[in-house]
Amino acid sequence: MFSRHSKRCPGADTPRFALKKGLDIPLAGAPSGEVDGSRRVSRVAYTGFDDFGPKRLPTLAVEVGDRVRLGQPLTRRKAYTQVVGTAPASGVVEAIHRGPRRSLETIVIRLDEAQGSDGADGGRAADAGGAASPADFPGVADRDQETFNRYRADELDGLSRAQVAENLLAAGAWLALRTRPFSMIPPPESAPEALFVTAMDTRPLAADPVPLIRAAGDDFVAGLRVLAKLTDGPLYVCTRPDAGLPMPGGHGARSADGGRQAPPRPRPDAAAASSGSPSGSEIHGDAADDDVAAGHRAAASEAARAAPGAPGPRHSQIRLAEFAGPHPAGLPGTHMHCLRPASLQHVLWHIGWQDVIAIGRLFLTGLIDPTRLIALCGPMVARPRLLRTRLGADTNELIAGELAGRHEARVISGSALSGRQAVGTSAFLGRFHNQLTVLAEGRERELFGWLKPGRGRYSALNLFWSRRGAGERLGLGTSLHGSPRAMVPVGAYDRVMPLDLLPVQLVRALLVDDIETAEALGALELDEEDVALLSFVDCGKHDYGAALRRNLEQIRREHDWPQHGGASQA
Amino acid sequence: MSQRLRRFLDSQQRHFLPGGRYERFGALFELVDTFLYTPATVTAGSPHVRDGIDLKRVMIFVWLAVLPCALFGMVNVGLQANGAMAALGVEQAPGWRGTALWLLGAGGYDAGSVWDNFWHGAVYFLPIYLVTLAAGGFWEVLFAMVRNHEVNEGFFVTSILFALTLPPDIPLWQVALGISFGVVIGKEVFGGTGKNFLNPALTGRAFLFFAYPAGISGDTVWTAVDGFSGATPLMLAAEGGVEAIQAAGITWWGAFFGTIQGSIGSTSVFFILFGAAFMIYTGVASWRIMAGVLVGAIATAVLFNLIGSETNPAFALPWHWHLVLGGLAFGLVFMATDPVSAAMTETGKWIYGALIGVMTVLIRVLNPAYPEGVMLAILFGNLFAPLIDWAVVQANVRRRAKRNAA
Repeated sequence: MFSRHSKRCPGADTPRFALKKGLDIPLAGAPSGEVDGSRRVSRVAYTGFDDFGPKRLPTLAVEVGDRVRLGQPLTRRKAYTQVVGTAPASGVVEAIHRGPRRSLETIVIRLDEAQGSDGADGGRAADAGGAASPADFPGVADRDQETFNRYRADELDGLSRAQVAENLLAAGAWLALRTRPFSMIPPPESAPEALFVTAMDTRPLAADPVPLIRAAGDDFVAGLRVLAKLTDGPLYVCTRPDAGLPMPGGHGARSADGGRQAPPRPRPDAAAASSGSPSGSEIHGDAADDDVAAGHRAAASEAARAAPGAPGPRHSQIRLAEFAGPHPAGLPGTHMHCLRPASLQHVLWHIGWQDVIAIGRLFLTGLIDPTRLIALCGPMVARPRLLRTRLGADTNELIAGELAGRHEARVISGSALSGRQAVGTSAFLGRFHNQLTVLAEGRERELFGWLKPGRGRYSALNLFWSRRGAGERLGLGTSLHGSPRAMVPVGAYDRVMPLDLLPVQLVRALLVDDIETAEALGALELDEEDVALLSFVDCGKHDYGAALRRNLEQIRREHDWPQHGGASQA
Repeated sequence: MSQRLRRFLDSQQRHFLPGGRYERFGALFELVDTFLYTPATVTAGSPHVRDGIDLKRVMIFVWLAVLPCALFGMVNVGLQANGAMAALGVEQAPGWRGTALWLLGAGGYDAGSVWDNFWHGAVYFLPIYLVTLAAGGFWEVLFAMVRNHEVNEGFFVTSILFALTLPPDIPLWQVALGISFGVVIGKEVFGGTGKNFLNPALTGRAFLFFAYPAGISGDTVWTAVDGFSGATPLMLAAEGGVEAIQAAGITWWGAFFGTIQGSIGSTSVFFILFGAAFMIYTGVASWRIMAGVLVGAIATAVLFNLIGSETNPAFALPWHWHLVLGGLAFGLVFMATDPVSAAMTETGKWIYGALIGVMTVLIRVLNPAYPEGVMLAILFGNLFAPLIDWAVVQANVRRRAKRNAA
């Protein structure tokens, strides 16, 4: 359950949610604020498994050995032929890896030599007609790349939805959008009831994106303006309290100042954030719903208002929402649940902050920006910090020489809770992953481990001594800490589930594939990462994420979703 | 030593894997292997890190919470028996138990000595516990082997709870029969741990209660001395209220510390409170259920006090006596909180607990046939738990539907 604070900001009524339930796993290896742009990679990959569409297998437009340019189409969806996946770099296709049932895993591109070793490249600017200088995308520049439509900043608000969609589709940026329910590529003709921009991150060891967004102020604002065209409803920018994000309406001087002056701030401690906020009443059930609904109506009726602390007219669609508390306060599933729950009838889309910035740059310069900022983190990393690297970068190259100790390591693209193991043919950064986590593989066998007080082990319940040292960060590994057992509903599920749904009943329904109950209990609002904490605390060691996906896929088939748009063309 | 054992287990494992010589006994090997060593399994995918919790640790913590009650139970069984022997003039415990005590070199029968009491109690409790483990364990492993699933650790707790709710001189074949019924009918036929809807320990005890009432109820079974007859405090309360209990020399503090007749492990509220505090602190048991039972029992007891009765002195028994007599405290802390058979929603836990509390006092006060009501009340609560949860779930579903329609 969450409480909602309507803090009296001058001239704004930003919805604020302080989540009390949840869990911040005290993993060691949090990244420092330092941004390191010096690490180069020689290979990047287009990651096919990040594109979850109704027909999994896209048509390939290239073969091994082909020379490709950054932005050139590599894949085309069978269901929606306008949706292409574009090359994340210029170079030569080195390999195409396929997974089970010939699903596309990765298309590996070996970068042209010049970009691999040296990011400063003058040729690109000439290609683009002088619109962008290499300094715009420091660290990454491709010798030749595809160009797309570009607009002046003052033209963005006048764009039509078709113009926006066309440019996003052509550049492959459409794949950055995901629907809820089902977390799929949205059909190009459809429009969501609302679009959610995730501008915060509470995943274990994630970096605070707020200073990074402020540093890219104008591009972020441009991205928001463009994306707002995709929906007739609101575009929610979901962030942590007191973020001071650049917002349309006052973006000019304000965002530039914010970018330059604001020091990187650590993520506020969850407990402090919730206890420090004004004591709002805990709102349960219907009251909360009505309140939120009333909020929507009120916000809709006063279209033009001043942005928080900024001069100029506020953008009628773009709204800020603030979330405080432990993980999963930063997940889009949580944001949607609090503001506007998703269902088959109410389809929402969401997009991450890095893609918003990249889309802003795409529209301002006509160029694809493959730069990504990721946190290199985890107990095995010698110097956890932020890396400026490329979309789909080779993770083995990124971690070379970065590990502390010789213990067997697991490299994860994404967070320890919801990332994907980056190994072998899939050792590349995922499209939606803002961190690279390295954990120690925990294969050690302890004699009578169930009896030991357990220093160094961690539980959401008070089962170990390590729990006593509050604030201490632990070098947790990948041990399952037990064997698969029956689902016994001992304690911690309710403590880590802040959403208004019944976690024990939901996971039991998921395990037995009771899709009617699962749907009634809110499965459609969720994605794998929303139930990761439930898997984490489970004493029977189940994987509820896999069970959720299995159920969602069954529901999707039975409803033949999506019915509108591209499905008929498949 | 440790290294050599590990190597031996690793070298034998292949025989128990699918396709190995002893494939059928794979569940048994897994039981022994993971009992000795934490498993080497690592996470297969996300989440890549896991909570340190596992079923073994949860169950061992509940077992540890019950342990003080078991130890004190042995002392109290000895205390009651030695006291009765002194009163009746019996010199030595009869049969093999006397021989065992003599062999142990603990052959004293002094009710004033904790040492003598402990060993006298041990020769009654330990055989019951061992028979429970052997008979119940047999069924657990058999079902695991036939069904091809792991041996779940839940039986660890079931066994000690079952043993502690029995009277000390119950025949051992009845113990084996009771736990077999509890494990097989109360749990395994529904699919095993996590899928049962009745508490298996109480199912077994209820079976004995109705099948062999002479062995588990009445006034001769609660003290392990032949020929001794003594009514339990609850029977006294039904006959004459608090005055009758106090006339038998039982004080409230005596009942609180547990130096009274009763089931082996359920007399001492003092030690039960230790277990309750431990389980609530570690989070392995629900405080909501415990609080719900307390509220229900106290409210009902007070209600009966207010109503009053000319003919039934049990109406006047105050709530603070209800809590220290019989099995109410033991049941509310260890039995009602069984996570599988209890209500699973947070709201439902309050309702479920309160229902048990109300039913316990209702049976105690109004039903002349059963002086103790907690066992039946908890089984009654188990039966209603799915219905309670259903109502809570429907409320949540309606709330969601309303919100989605908006």
